[in-house]
Parts: sequence; structure tokens; C-alpha cells
Amino acid sequence: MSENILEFQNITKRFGGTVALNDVSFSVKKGQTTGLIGENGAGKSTLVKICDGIHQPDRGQLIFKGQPQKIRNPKQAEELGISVVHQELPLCYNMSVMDNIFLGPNLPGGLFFPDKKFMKKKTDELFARLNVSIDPRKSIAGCSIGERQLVMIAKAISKNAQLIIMDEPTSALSPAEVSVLYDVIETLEEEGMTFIFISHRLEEVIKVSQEVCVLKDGEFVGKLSKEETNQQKMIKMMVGRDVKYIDKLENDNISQDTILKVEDLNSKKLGLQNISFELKKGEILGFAGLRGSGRTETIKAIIGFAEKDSGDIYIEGQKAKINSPSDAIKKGIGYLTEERKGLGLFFNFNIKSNLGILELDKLSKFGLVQRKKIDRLAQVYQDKLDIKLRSINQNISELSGGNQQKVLLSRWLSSQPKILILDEPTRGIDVGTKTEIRRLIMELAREGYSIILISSEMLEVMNIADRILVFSGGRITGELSHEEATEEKIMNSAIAEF
Amino acid sequence: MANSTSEESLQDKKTRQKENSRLKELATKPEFGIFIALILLSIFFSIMTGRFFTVRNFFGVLRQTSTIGIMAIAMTILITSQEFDLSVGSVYALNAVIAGLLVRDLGINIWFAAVICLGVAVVIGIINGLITVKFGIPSFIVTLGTMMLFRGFALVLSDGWPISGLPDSSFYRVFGGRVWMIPMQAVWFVIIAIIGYIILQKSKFGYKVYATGGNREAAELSGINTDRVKIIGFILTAGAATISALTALGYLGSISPTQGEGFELMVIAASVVGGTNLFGGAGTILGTFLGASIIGVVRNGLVLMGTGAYWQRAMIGLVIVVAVIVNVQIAKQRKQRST
Repeated sequence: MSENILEFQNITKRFGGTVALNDVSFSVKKGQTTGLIGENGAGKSTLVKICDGIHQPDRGQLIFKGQPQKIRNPKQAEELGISVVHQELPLCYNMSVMDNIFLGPNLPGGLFFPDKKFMKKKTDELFARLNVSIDPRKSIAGCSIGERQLVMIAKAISKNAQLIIMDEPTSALSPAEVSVLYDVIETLEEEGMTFIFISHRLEEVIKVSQEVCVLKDGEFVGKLSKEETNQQKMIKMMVGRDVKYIDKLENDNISQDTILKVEDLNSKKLGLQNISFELKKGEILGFAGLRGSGRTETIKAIIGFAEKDSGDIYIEGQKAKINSPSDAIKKGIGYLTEERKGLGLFFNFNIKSNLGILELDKLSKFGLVQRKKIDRLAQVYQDKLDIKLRSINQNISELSGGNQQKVLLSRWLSSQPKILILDEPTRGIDVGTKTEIRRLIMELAREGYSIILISSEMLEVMNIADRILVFSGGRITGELSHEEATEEKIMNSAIAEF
Repeated sequence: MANSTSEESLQDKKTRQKENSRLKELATKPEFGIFIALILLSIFFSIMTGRFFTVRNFFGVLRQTSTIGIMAIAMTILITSQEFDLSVGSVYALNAVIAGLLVRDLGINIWFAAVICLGVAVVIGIINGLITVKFGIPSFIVTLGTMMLFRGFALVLSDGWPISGLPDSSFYRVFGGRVWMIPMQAVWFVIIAIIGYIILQKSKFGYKVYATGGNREAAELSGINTDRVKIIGFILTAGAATISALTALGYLGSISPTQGEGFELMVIAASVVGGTNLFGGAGTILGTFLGASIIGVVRNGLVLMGTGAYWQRAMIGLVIVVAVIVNVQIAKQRKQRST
């Protein structure tokens, strides 16, 4: 019925050893909205970055309006008529709405002065086209996220965009703002604009899209037409089947005693609502859900890394006051961060210092760090976790991601925490070490550690955890035992709306 | 009759409301706090010493402030684009020395020498800017280096001796003389401030400066050459340092290779007291003008009160810190109100 505006032909993209996109081919029809869905890490973002020239495909080509195109940078994409509205909006918060729309090397006006009247008039016209009302003179800092997004869309159409790609546009919007966005998309579609709409909220994707394309593990799984789309079908395509299976070690060590109890945790800032759960002694409790669903945020609130509005925490039945991570450590909570590079490692330190930093008090005498003690500690964990290194005096940056993770894990084990919280312990690690670390987690539970495992990899949570809590939108939306957990059940809870 | 009076009073009310809202609008301006502070300080010094509140002293303060103030105007533009220039004090000395030597040793007309100095300033700005953006070194470090480099040049060229006894010229009247009772240095300060205001707050280039300092990536993605914006900013600071040096030469008639030591920090302080955000993206010329004036008023007031030189320094430092605290608090409040 209508022509294709964009075609992906056999796109393959590798980053080092991992294949982000493998032979992806599909097309996007002009003048309508195409939904693009897939789990975290399915390759959606990589595909978007290929569209706006941040990445170039290793193989395959991009056909835009019938012409094969090599897009080298976002500017070139924009000139072609492709605009991407990212989750992080590149706006100048110190400037006004209209300033941001016309930001660029050639502001309208004469040689020296910008023509503000013209800018205001044009901005009013753009917003009239979108059928929204925003004061062009308003500062971006004073705009809501929804308004900022509309500014980006207005900016895109002012540059004659023909294809607008929206990456998770609704994740930070209020319901009212979402419906404004729908209206804007509909209005522009009538003008002949094409949209690619990426979202985890399947209901929204179904609502706005005429077609839905599904990616899984970097591969194109299939396309559904408007009539065919329903949530169950989409979830099945997104999770599919996976052969990478991990054997669950029997954990018959779980005690009836509760070691950690969280009651009615709320935080407006972190978006958490009524989080309550218990962790049994010796148990591996899995936290599943999408990124930003409240998994990590809950932990941050528990360990006092972020402020909570209300909620009580009990450790071994005792009410615990935790105002900072240092309190949490004293109370016996160890938290392995998901941001190994940003919040975990000290890249100016060698391996043993990275490992021993929690136990400095025990490793020193009269305030001086005892070399022998720290060496011995490092040796112990090098053997225990089989860390592959040349010397414990090596700089941490020389190790592979997997071995860096083992060093971090050793750091926490050395403080012998009562509760060990592991946030994405196997992210960005090679397959072999992944398996090792997963085994290690199960062994630690058998040794008596009580563990919370946060992971975006559903199979990992399913196969390792004794019990799974699923998070969505800052709430716990599902609880599953190891036996009853399936990918579909987890996904259903993870995208639950309320 | 009764009707018309009520109409009148209605109109009165309207105008009063208008004035009220105008006052409120004025109060939301970022420069309002600093303006009030300046007024309060002036009142304080007027009470403490009879010699402060005179027309003569008013122009005196403006003249004394001009040296730092002229540089602070350009510095505000540069800081708003998220860079620093610590070499302004040295450029202030180097270009003065160059002008002096050209006139004294080569017999070049001082007007022509001034033009050459401005050319040197452009080259210096490009050097500072290119090193900063092309090698990606923080400008704080780059200009810390060139600060010492240019100071060294000034000392080498002059052999460490002051330069004086230059032939008379109209130059001295234009840059350092008086029109009626207004010192020319003050006139230049106001002229540069107006030019700076137009460049930063009215021109297309100014938009790019705010964009570069507000969100460099967004500016780049919009196609703005942020490197060029910053390099032009460095040219402006070196140029302003040179103009400042010329006005000082015009007033004093002599040059010292050690002049302007420590000015760079006073210049940055004036800009920051005036509400310029050290992390870029926010700053106004009026704010900087008032910021420089506050420092000028405090120094002048303390001198008139007979305060010792050592105490003067301490008090100026104190005023800077207090002013910045007040500014940050006002900015926070405004942010809270807007969200």
C-alpha cells in the first residue's frame, strides 16, 4: 500500500567479541508508526545509533528513500531527514524553548543579531502544527519532561525531518503527557511523517504502531501487523527460547529465619512505592525486571545511598537505622554495584588495594597498612575465586572485565557480610567467567551467605535464584518460586502496568 | 462625578499594579541581589565617611574599577562558554611592555603601537584557545602555563625595568585623560561593558556562547562549532586585557613589567560575584559590571575610612565569599520557584 522509507539490509554490528546485531533485515513503511521492541540488550539501541550515524554497521546497508546511505554522524542523518529523540534530550537548560529550537550555526536573522520576533513566530507555528501550546520564551529548565520532548520533536520538524525515531519516549512521562504525545504523533502521521517507536510498554506500542518489529539477542525475530499484535504474542517473540542453561545447585540450606526484612519502603525521588519483602537466611533472592524498574533503586534506598521517604528495615529482627553506605557495611550488608567502572573500582589502585579497601582497619597497624597482611588477603581470594592475574601489584585496569568483577566480589567477601547484594554481577563479562560467577553465587549460598541477586538476564535469575521478585514501575509486581518461574511469567510481571 | 473619581482611582490602581509587577519583574532579574548589595555597601560607606558619597569619588571608583572591570567583561563571556583565562594579568603587562618598547626604542607612533598590541592579543587568544580545544587540556592549566610564559616574556623584553618618559601624544588624553570631570578610563569601561552586553546577550555569537556553556554536546549536535566559540572567547579576554593595559598606560604614562600580577583572580572574582556560573552557561554583563563595582567600592571605601592595606585585602576576600554565597542562595530559590 505505501512505500518503504527505510530498509535495513543484513545489518551486522560487532563490539569486540559480542555481536550486537546479527544480519538484521526489515523495512519501515512511510507515513505510519513502526514499533520496535525487544529486551534490554536485544540490539534496539545499537540499531538506533546506526540510524543516526553514531555507529556504522560492519556489514549490510541502510536504504533511506530508495537510496543506500552511509551515515557517518548525527548531523548527516539530520540532513537526510532522520531525527532521533533519545531518552537523554540534548537541550541547553539555561536557554529558552525557542532558542533551543533554532540552536545551530545559522540562527535566523541578520549578520550579527538573531531575529527574535521571527524565532517566536516560527516556534508558535511549529507548536500550532503539533497542536500543543508551550510558551516559546519559557526556559527549558522550567519545562516538564514531556514539554522538552515536544521541543525536540518541533526542532526535528523545523529541520524537515521525515523519519523520527523515539527511544523510550514515554518512560518518564505522566499519563496526561503520554496522551498528548499520542496526539502529536497522530497529527504528524496525517502530514505523512514516519515514526519508529521504541518502548518496553507493550500496550503503548500496540496503541500507536501500525506494525511492530521484534528484536532478540541482536537478531530480527519477526514483524506483526496491527491486527496480529497482542501482548502474549509479543512477549513470546521477545523472550523466545534460550539454550544457554545453567544447572541449579540444590540449595537445602535455606533457614526459616528472616535475615532482612523491608517494610513499606517509599521514595518519591527514586520512584519506589510500597516495597516490602523478606530475605531468608541462606537464600538467593532474585530481583527481576527491566532497567529502571526499581530493582537497583530499592537497594540504594536500603543501603542509604539515596534518601527514602518512609519504610523500615529489620536485620535479624532488629530495626536498623541506615543513613549511609558506611552504616550498611557496619550492619553487615555488602553491595556489589552494577556500575563496576563508575562506582566500583579505583583505577588508580593496584589489584590488592582494590580488594582490601573495605578491611583497611584490620589490615593496618597504627594507621599504616601492613603489606604482608594485604598480600595474604589478596592471595587467599586469588585462589578462592581463581582470579587470573600476573601479580597482585598489577593495576586493576589490566584485568579483563570478568576478573575485575571477581576482585570486586572478593572485596565484599573479605568483609564477610551477612547479606550480600549482587547487582548485575555478570554484566559485560565473557561467557566462561559468567558461568564461573554464577556457580560461585550458588556455592556462596550453600556456605550460608544470604544473597540478593539483581539481573536483567531473565535466565540467570530463573536458574540461580531460589525465589524471584519482579519489579515494574517502582513496585513489586510478582513473586515466583524457582519451580514456577518461566520467562513469560517474569516478562508479564515486568511490563505490568497499573 | 462620583463615577469619574472611581474611574480615576481605578486607573490609579492599574498603574500602581503595573508598577508593582514591574518591580516584581525587576526582583526576579539575576542581577537584582547584587544590585541591592552594592546599594547597601554604598550606604554603609556613606555613613562611615563623608568623603565617599561625592560625584568626584563616584568617578574615582569607576576609574579604579575599570582595569579589572574591562577584563572581567570578556572573562564573563569566556567563563559562560565554560573556559577560563588565567593569563590576562600577564597579557596586561606583556602588551603594555611591547607598546612601550615600540614607542621608546623604535620610535613608532603610540597609536600604531596600540594597534600592533591588539594584533598580538589576537595571536595570544588563538594560542590559548587552540591549545585548550585541540589538545583537550583544561584551560585552567593551559592558561596557568601561558600566564607564566607571558609574564616571563614581559620581564625579558623589558629586562625587568619600568618603561617611562614616552613622548607626548593625543593617546594619553583619549585613554587616560578626563572629559569634564569624567575619567576616560571609566568611559572605556562603560563602552566595553556595552559592547560586551551586545556580544553576549544580544548577538548570534552570544547565543552560541550560552549554548556551548549550557550543554556542549547539544550545541555540537545542533551543528555549532563549539571549539571556534571558545577560541573567540580567548581572543576576547586577551583583547580586553590589552585594552585595559592601554587605558592604564594612558593614565599613568609609564609601564612596569610586573604590573597586573594577581589580577587574573580578581577578574574571575568580579565575574563570579556578578553571578557568572563557574561551570558555564550562565552569566550577565550587567552582573559582572556590578560585581566589579562591589569590589571597587569596598576597596575605595576602606581606603577612605583609613583602613590598613592588609585589612583591605582580607575584607575584599570576605566580601567575595559572602557575595557568592548570597548569589548561590538566590539562584537556588529561583530554581525552586520555577519548578
